[in-house]
Amino acid sequence: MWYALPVIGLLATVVGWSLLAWRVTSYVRGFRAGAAELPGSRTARPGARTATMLREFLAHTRLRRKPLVAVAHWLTMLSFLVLVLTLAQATGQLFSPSFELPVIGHFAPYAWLTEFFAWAGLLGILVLIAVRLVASRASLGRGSRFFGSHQWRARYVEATILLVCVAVLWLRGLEAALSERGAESASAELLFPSTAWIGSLYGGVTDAALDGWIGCLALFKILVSYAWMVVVSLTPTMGVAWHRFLAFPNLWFAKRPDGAPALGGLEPLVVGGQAVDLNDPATPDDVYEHLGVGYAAELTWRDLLSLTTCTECGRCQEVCPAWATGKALSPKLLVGALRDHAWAEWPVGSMGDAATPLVGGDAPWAVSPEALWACTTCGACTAICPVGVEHVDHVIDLRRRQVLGEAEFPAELGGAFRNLERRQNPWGLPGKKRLDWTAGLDFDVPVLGETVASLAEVDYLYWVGCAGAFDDRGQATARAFAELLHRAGVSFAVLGTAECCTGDPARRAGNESLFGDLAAGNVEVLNQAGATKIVVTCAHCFNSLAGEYGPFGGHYEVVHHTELLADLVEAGRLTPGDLPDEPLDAHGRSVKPSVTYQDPCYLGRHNGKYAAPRRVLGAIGNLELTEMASAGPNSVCCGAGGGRMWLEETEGTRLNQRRADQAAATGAGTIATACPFCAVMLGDAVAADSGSGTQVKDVAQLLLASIAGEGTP
Amino acid sequence: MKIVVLVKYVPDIEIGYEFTGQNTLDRSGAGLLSQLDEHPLEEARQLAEALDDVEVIALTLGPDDADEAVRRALQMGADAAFHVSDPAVAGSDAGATALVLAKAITHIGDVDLILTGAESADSGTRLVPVKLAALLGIPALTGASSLAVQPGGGAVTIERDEDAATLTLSAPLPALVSVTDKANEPAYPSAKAVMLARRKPVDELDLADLGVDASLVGAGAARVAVGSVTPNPPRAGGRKIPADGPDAIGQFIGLLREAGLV
Ligand code: SF4
Ligand code: SF4
Repeated sequence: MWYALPVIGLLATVVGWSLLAWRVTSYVRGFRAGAAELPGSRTARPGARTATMLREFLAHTRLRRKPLVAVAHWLTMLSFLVLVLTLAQATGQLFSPSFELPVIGHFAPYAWLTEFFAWAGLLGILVLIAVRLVASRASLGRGSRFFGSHQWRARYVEATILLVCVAVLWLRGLEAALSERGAESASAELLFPSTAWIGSLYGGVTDAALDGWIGCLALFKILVSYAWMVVVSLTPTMGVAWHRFLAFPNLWFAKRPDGAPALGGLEPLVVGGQAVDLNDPATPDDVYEHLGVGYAAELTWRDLLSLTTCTECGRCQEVCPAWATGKALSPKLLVGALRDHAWAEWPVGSMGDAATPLVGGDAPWAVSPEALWACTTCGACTAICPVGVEHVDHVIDLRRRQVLGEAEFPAELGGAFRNLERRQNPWGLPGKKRLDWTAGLDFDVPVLGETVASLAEVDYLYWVGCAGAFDDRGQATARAFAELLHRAGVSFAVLGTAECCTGDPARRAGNESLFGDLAAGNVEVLNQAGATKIVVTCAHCFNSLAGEYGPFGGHYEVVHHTELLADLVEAGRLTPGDLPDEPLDAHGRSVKPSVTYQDPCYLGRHNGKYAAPRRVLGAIGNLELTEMASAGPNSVCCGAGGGRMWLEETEGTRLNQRRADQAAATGAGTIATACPFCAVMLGDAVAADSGSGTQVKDVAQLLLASIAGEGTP
Repeated sequence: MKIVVLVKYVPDIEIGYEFTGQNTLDRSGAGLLSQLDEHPLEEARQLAEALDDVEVIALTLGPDDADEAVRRALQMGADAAFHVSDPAVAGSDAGATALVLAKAITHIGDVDLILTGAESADSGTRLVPVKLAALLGIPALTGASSLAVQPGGGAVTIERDEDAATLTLSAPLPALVSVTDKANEPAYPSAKAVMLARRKPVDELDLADLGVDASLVGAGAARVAVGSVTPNPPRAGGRKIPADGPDAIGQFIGLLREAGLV
């Protein structure tokens, strides 16, 4: 009867490994069938890529917001690697209960390592199981990061790890008992430091029974492991299991070799591995059938790899402001939908005309247009994803197809596009009003081509941006900044009516052709003017000018106004004074102005600039900076990005209101920001709540107020 | 079925306009396809989608810059375009404009349906469509808020929303229909449509090609003279009450009371 053990065990081994090999081959074939990436974009700088992969593997930096999970996951992950050999050990034990691995079987450090990681894995997985139970309790509803995840899959994986760890420890206890009875009983203490006590429970059983225990337990462990192999091989969409393999290549092939999140400047429109110029008549016709991503077959191999790697951990969902305010969009569910879609039509491209569109359509995994257009491209999801999923790029790719290929998008966007086409600004105001913001300044703002002949005469070109030119709050910021430059003796000039929108709103909304027109036009103007150093007051302008104009021949040194102001303050060219006190409190005591700072997504997460605005605020006297609970890299979007500024917000609650409430929770009377779009959104939110008395000011306005001493401008 | 859509290149009047010394609109600034003409274009595109064998032709009469309007019309679904341009045309009144357009329609030949906007965004006389129909001797249905062509193409039926009632009107083809902005929501052209538009044929014509006697058109031939143009002072900015502000409704009613309106 004991012959059955090795037979069943070997059968399971063969089935398990064969299916795994088959699945791995199908994965590789499937990924290779994906569309091409821009050559080199996923392989340049292999050294940095390897370092990034190893860093994320060993240091789990993206889990820093959940330290308990980070440690538990780290232990579980390593235990999986270390305990692989116990599978071989158990297989041997099917044949002979006293089987030991050759060479290391008797090597004490190996024994210690195994025991340590078996306990660590057990502890780790218990923590993770508990975390999942708590974090997915039904009362949280949509508020759970696991809402919509395939929970049974995760629980199955957790149960497997739990059972394997228990089996490993138990087996070791039995091995200890066995060795007690053998000749080498002296080594039991040394080889089984933490499991010998389990063996001591078996003191009374016969030798044959002990052998039986070992054989059965070994078979159990093997069956648990191979059942897992079979299940995951048959379920290619089970990222919660597969990420332990796929995360490595996925991190290695990341968009940014150094491990920075896949944010900042977008890649050009790519079809068939080549950047597409929509204004070039020589662009082949069939390219127009494949603009952006509309079908699974148009996902690149890295897209497919990355979608399949998603573990459904829901970190992205948890930080998504659209999801938090009740929109249809969850980055996790978007990724899951694309993944399921791709796998339903796998091998990609084999479906021909039967393939269904990724957006709209009635396939159960289709992405709804509401979800697609709810994204603000704030990048919180992409920045936090531990396995390197690049949500923002997926969203943009899908939008590109909707706009360029299908001409299907919310009607309000059509208005913004037309305004950008006809009047080169999303407000649709006449270009000749671009200098209206200068009214009221007691010096003349130098305009290139009018009062300044060449940019060689000045330190900076000040790129005012459409918000600075046309929006009330933006204009006030532009005036404050110009005044500061004037006071600091920094020479500058503006382009005046020659300035056009950078194209950011068009690009984030997927309108690559309109972005291309605007970018090319701006680069022509800037290069003709000989622009080298540009300062901007808008985070979106910064992102485009600094990170997206290269392919158009525009290479400039772009600084954000808060960076320049911080430098000017530190160089002593601007001397901040004190802000005036706020009105006395109920007890008649004076109140120091308390300020909180909203990190604009396109300055912070997208471009990594968190310090400069805080340097400026820190230099202002009589100002108390109180950070919001989620600040810096964890900052929360105001709701304007991704073209959302120009869209109605009808679903759920409002993003700007939510962020304004978070700001209000600090007790600060002033929300400082460094982007005119944040100022508009938060300004609207605090205006709606007139009782709050909160004001929204650009960092430049606060600095000027402290210098001018005439109250907040 | 052959549909001709009349399109006009106009100054961007929504952002303000100026007049020349000759009492005409200053057309030297950047212009665009009249927004009102996007609706007949969209209507034609939808007809072409719904019916077999529809050819959509955009026709414009305007300066060289009107290429811009032609290009847009082609992006929005016209299959071909005719652009009539002649220095002699400048300053033409509605009658002369209709005359040139009638000749162009005859030149195009076999036209079943002529679609126009409700009016031109710049001069807004609404005279050209009816004069054109009269010159061609075909019926004109104006102010269509919806339009349907009988299957088989024998007649066209429109609905016209008036203050008192909605009328359903029909006429046998060939006919002229002017379409209002209620008729449809013009689609934004896809990148592919933009690309394909670059290859569509544009016929450039002048008066000689059409056999129009230049003395019948232009400022000299205008039967109506503009005596003077006095731009109105800009409207004073209104007062904004934020809808979500405190007691918005109360404030609003207060203002109405002040103005003696309630
Ligand atoms: S995309 Fe990343 S963060 Fe979001 S659920 Fe998947 S693995 Fe987690
Ligand atoms: S970019 Fe921001 S809004 Fe868009 S899915 Fe990610 S977290 Fe949500």
